[in-house]
Parts: sequence; structure tokens; C-alpha cells
Amino acid sequence: MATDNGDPLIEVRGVSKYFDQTVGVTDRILRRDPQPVRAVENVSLTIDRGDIIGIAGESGCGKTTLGNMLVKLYPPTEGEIIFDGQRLSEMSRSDEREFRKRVQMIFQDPFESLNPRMTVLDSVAEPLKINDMGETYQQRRDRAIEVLNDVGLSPAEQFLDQYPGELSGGERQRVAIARALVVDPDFIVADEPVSMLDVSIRASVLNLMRDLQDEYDLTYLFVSHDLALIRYMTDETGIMYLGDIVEYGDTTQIVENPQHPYTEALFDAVPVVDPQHERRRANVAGEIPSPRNPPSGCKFHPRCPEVIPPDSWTGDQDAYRRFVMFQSGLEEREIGPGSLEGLEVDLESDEAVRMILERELALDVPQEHRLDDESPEAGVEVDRLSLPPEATETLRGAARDALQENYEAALDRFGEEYRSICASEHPGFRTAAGRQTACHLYDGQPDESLTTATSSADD
Amino acid sequence: MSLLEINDLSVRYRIQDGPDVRAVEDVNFTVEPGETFGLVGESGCGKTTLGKSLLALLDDNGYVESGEVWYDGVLPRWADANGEPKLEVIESDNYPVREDGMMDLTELDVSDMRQVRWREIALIPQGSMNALNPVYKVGDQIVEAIRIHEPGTSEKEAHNRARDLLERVGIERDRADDYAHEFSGGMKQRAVIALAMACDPAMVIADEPTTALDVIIQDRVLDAIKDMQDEFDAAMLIISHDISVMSETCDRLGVMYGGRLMETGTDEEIFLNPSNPYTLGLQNSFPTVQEEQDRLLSIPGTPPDLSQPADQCRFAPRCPFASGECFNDHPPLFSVEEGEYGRQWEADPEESHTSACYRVDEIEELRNKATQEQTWQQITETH
Repeated sequence: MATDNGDPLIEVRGVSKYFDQTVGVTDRILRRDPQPVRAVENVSLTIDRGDIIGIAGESGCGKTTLGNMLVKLYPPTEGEIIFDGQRLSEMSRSDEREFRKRVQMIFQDPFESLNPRMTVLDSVAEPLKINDMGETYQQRRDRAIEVLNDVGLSPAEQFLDQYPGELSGGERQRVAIARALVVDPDFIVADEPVSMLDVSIRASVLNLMRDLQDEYDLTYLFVSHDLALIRYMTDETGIMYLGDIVEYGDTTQIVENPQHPYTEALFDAVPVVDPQHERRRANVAGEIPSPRNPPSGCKFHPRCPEVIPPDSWTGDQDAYRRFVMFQSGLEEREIGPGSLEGLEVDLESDEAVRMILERELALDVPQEHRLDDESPEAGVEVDRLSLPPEATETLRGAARDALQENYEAALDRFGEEYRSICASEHPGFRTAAGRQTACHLYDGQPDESLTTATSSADD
Repeated sequence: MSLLEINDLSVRYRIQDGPDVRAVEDVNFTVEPGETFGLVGESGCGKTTLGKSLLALLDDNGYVESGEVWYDGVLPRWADANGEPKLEVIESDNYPVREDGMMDLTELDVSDMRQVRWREIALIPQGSMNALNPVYKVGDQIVEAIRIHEPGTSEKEAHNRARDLLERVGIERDRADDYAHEFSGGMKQRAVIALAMACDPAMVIADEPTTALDVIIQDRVLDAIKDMQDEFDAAMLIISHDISVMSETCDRLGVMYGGRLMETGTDEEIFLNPSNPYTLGLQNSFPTVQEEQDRLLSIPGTPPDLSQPADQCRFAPRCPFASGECFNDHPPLFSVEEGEYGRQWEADPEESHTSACYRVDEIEELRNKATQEQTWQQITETH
């Protein structure tokens, strides 16, 4: 997959998008630097002609922002997007007009993306008018009818004079698709195109999109949180987490054999329609951190079940995972006197330190991933964890500092000795099981070339 | 004996111009003590309306047109752990009580219904799995629920119970003094469950408990629901459009379409042995992440207009197998097990696997045909 045998239509090179970069009043008063939301960070990928590429991830991962940049709704803060050999940032006015014809978008909500006061004909013919396509009204009308028939609204004549309010959700989304197709584009970004539709209607819209791909010779970027849809629709998929693409490659391979621990958790979490099947649950602790201040190194490392201990760590990996979690809890200021609120215990006592460690070293994950005698209510017995003695001392000291809300001192105790590579270095893409994974678990130098993958669909 | 017995229930909405919308029509099913029953269907099928009607929480223009909701519990003999009656005695003389002690919830007046809510049947509304009040301590929210619904409870006792409840759902007792933002994602949902269980209800209704949640949080919610089923002996009624969520949480299911119950059965019967053409269509169109699917099959057409439904099977216009009598009358629920004889009787309430289809005796054959694309395409051509 590293070899470039495809015909790239879109190249995304080191693209980042930061929102909210201006200095607000609060920031000025407190003399703070603005902390922008890092919606997308240093993403690179290549989309070949005729591919269906999926972008999946949880809300806030940056998948929609990435799609919006590809249709030039807003420019990237850093990096470059190249469409058919041309940089988006260097387009002349006439280049841009051409680009707007060749690249279209299908939005999530057909109840909001169509003008309720325009008839189906007006909605579908409008892009032709804007783009100076079709000389006469009759020509534009004929083209609209042709496309409406193609999207399954046939006979189209019946729909021409209807308003969106008179159509069902599935019909509206077909109108939205017709509106995108009428200018005969090359590339379509579809952002959650069926998430507002009922299940029985969904399949027909998905099938339509697949059928139209051949007919109109389309390339798609399919953005969705629904992994089953991603599997059904796409040839290749990028999984995003906090603005990064963490894994990229052949969709079937990613689903059946995920390499990145986040990808694995994501697929573990999908419920199955089989009453006789016991599913493995996702082994992820905590919540998605703020994109204003993402964790260092691999952004997933504080939640990762497989975070890599440094060579100096003499305990086991499970204990190390808890150690890292405790440290990031301090960074987030989540561990402190508040953790023991309501308990009658002297905050300076050894008892308080013991309690805070028991509680904060326990994993908040489904039972199958916890130790036998561990529970979120009782915490975990620290003695049972395989922690090196010095690490235990570090934790005790840090807990004591945290109880005094002295977080800087607490964090200073951690030093470099037990710092994971996952926290110190951002993992670049490397090849694992035939695809690109941004995870230190896999050998090999990060792939510095910006091309991440190419099509395997028509091999 | 069943905990809840819904008998020929019909619910309608008045609209400005035109006949009332028949959101739920002639629905029958039972919920047994301690079991989890799922109502599954697409938007507009009536599942949420049905859930709301059980607790008289319908919008102003909604009303129960006919039928009964028999409930075993609104009686003094339903005692709490100390043997004390849980409710002030509802004047049962005023209400229809059956010989077996079941009482019709649709007949209760406002103040009596208030006693049923939360104490007998608690509701976890849509979207609330992630929505605790941010400005009250979590424990205080539980205390408030207890003290409103059980006015005799002392503050101290209520606080103790709130802590007990949190402990039972796997949250440390002293976290009761935390605010919701101090809870992790999984803990928030467990706290919502503790809140629903505040008055030890015999049943909990959860409306779309996982909709709009991200997949990892959804996984936590499903885990929390499973623990709740193990820890408490309350029955559950789960309402959802997501058949995968249903398959993981429910003992028995009812599939709704166009205000009607189309099929009922255990989760295995519904998912391994689907016996109604609508259920077959729904499963065809549901993408799964487990296996490569060549082509999903959608159900052509759109759901019926419930303000003026035709005298026919609600699904007939979209059904590839509809014939003759399907266009005369909506079918009752037939027993699936009885095979070709099944259609001679309407299924009795004890019957587990039932299907509202006149052709249920040919279901094996229909099941095979339903997997072929041309079967469904022919509807577009004929109708």
C-alpha cells in the first residue's frame, strides 16, 4: 500500500485547523495566551479517483472539520490541500468557480439543507444557474429531470413542483443528492448523509450512493460515526481521535483486525445483533480530553489500555497503565482533596494518602477488564498492583501534594524516569499489518512521506 | 401473573384540521415481573407514545382512546421492604379492579397517577442518560426524588438511601456529595439509573437510552443497564429504534409499525426466527459491523399516514407478500409455533412468539424470499 499506484484526486498534506485563536477578554485580563481548539492536527491523506474513503470517530474528533476543509468551506490553519494538482490556497477566482462545480457536499439533515420555499425543480436547477450551466430554462429543467430520475425520484415530473415539506425524509435526501449531482461533480463529501433517516429508508439511500458512483464516476469522502455504515460503504477508512488520524487503511482489514488500541476499543463498543453472542466490551478508561489542551505525545495515551512502560519500569503493564492514569488525573486537576470530600479523614494523614491511591488507581472500565477483587466502589488494593517500590513512593508523594492542592510539586515528582514514549513522542504513521497506524506499539520508523495510503479497491 | 398487561390499547392525537392521528392502535402485550421487554420500531411507529401513555404523560392533545393498562401493584398489598404499604391507599372502589387484583392505570386521576410514577413505574426519558442537573449535588437529586414521592421520609433517611443506591450501582457512597461534572461518563449513567431506582419501583421505562450517544459511552450505558438488571429486580420496558441495542438488553421484544404491534417474542425468536414481513425487512436493511454485507435491502415506500389509515394491514402497501385478505383488515397476532393451524386462533396472551400476518403459516418460505433483492423490488413496480 505504500507504493503509489493510484491516480490521486485529492492530497491532504499536513493539514491542521485551529478554531478560536483570537484573544478574548478573559484571556487579556489574565494575560493568557489563547488556547485554540485543535480540531484537526497534522493530517495527511491521499484520495484516489474512484475511491470511497471513510472517516470515522466519535463526536469532536475532527471528522466534520476535515470534510469541510476538503470542500473549501474554510481554509486550513496549516498545511495544504491539493485538488487534481491544484493547491486550494492558490486558486484564482475562475479556478475556484471550476472547483465549486467539481466538488459537492451532501449534508446530514435533509430537513434543514433544502430551502423550504423552493420547489424541487428550483432546488435542483439552482446550482446549474449559479454555475452558468445550461443555456435556457428548458435545458436546466431537462437536466434536473434527468438527475431526479437517476436518484430514484421517478417519474421526476411528479416531484418537480413539490416543496420539501411535502416529501418524506428519504425523498428529501434524494433531492439533496440530486442537487449535488446536477453539476456533474468529481468529488463528493457526504457528512453523516443517512443519520437522520429511518433504518428501512437508509439502505436505499446508501445503495443509491453506491450505484451513482459508477454512473457518475464519483469519488466520495464518507464521514460517519456509525461504524457499520463505514464498513458497508467504504473501501478505505481513517479513524480519527482528537484531531489525529490514528489508523488508516483497507476498511475490511481495519474492522476485522484493528491495530491501534483506540480503533480496537471503538469496534469493541459496537453492539451486535445476535442474542447468543457475548461481546467483549471496550477497554477504555476516562473521557475524551479537551481539544484545547490535548495530551502530549500520542493523544490517546492517558486512556490507552496498552500504554508502553519505559525500560526502567520493573512492574507490569497493568500497573503502569494505572500509574499513567494517575499522572494525567493530576494534570487535569481531577485528583485532590475533592476526591475525599465527605469522608472524615485528616487530609495530612497517611490514611488519606492510602485512600486516594486506592480510589484513583482503580480502573473505571467494564468488569471484564478489571482485577478480580477490584471495583469502582471499593477501589483497588495498591499492594496487589505490580508497582516498582520507587513508583509507589512517587505516587504517595504526589498524592500528598495533591491533597494540599500543590499540583506543580506533585507533577514534578514524576520526572523523566517513568515517562512513556507514548507521552513524550507523537507516533507518526508506521506500517502494521499492511496499513498505517500511529502507535508506538509497532516497530519501524514513522513514515515521513506525506502520502499515507493509496487505493486498493481496483487492484 | 404479569406485572403489566396492556390490553387493546389505542392512543390518539387530536390535530387541528382532520381526523385524529391513530398513533397506537389495539396493542396487546404483557411485561412479567423482573423481565426486560423491548419495544422496537422506526420513528412514528408509536413506541414512545405508548410508553408515555402508561404514565399519563401524553402531550395535551393526546388521549387514550380505548383499552386498558392492567397493572399489578397499585394496591396496598404491594409492600416495601419493611412490610409497610408503599402507597397511600388508592381508593380502589373508585377504580376498576379485576378479580386478580390488577388495576387499570388509564383510569387513575392525576393525584393517584402521581403516586404511581417513580414509586411504581419510573421513567428514564429520552436524552437523560447524560443529563443530570449540573447545579445540584448528585446525591441531593436522588434525595429530592425520594422526598417528593415519599413525603414521610426524613432527610437523614433519604440521604442514607441515596448513598445506598449509589453503592448498588457501583459508585462510592461519598460521591453523593459530588456534582455531575465531577463524575466520569460511566458514572453519570449509573447515577441516572440510581435516580430512577430511588423509590424502588417495580418497573422502569427507558426511552431511547443510548440514542445520540457516542459508541464508547453507549457501551458503558449498555453495561450499566446489564448491571442494573442483575442488581435490582425491577422489570424494564426499553424503547428504541436500534435493534442491536435491543438484542443486547432485552428478554422479549415487540416490533411496532404504524401504531400496531407486528411481532412479539423472545429475543432469540425475533432475531433468529423473525416471522413477520416487516421484521424481515427491518433486519435486511440493518447494517452490521460483524460481517461483510454485499447489499443491504431497503423496504420500498414510506410508513402509512396514521390520520387516515386504510382498512388493511398497516404494512401491506410496502409488503412484497401482501395478498387478498391483507388488503381487507389489519391482521391480529397469530401464534407462530402453531404453524398452519396457528391462524385459526388468535394467540393467547401466554403465547410467546406471535406475528400479525395472515401468511404466518408460510413464514419459512417468505423468510427465504425476503433475502432476495427482486422480492422487494417488485413492490415498487406493482404499487
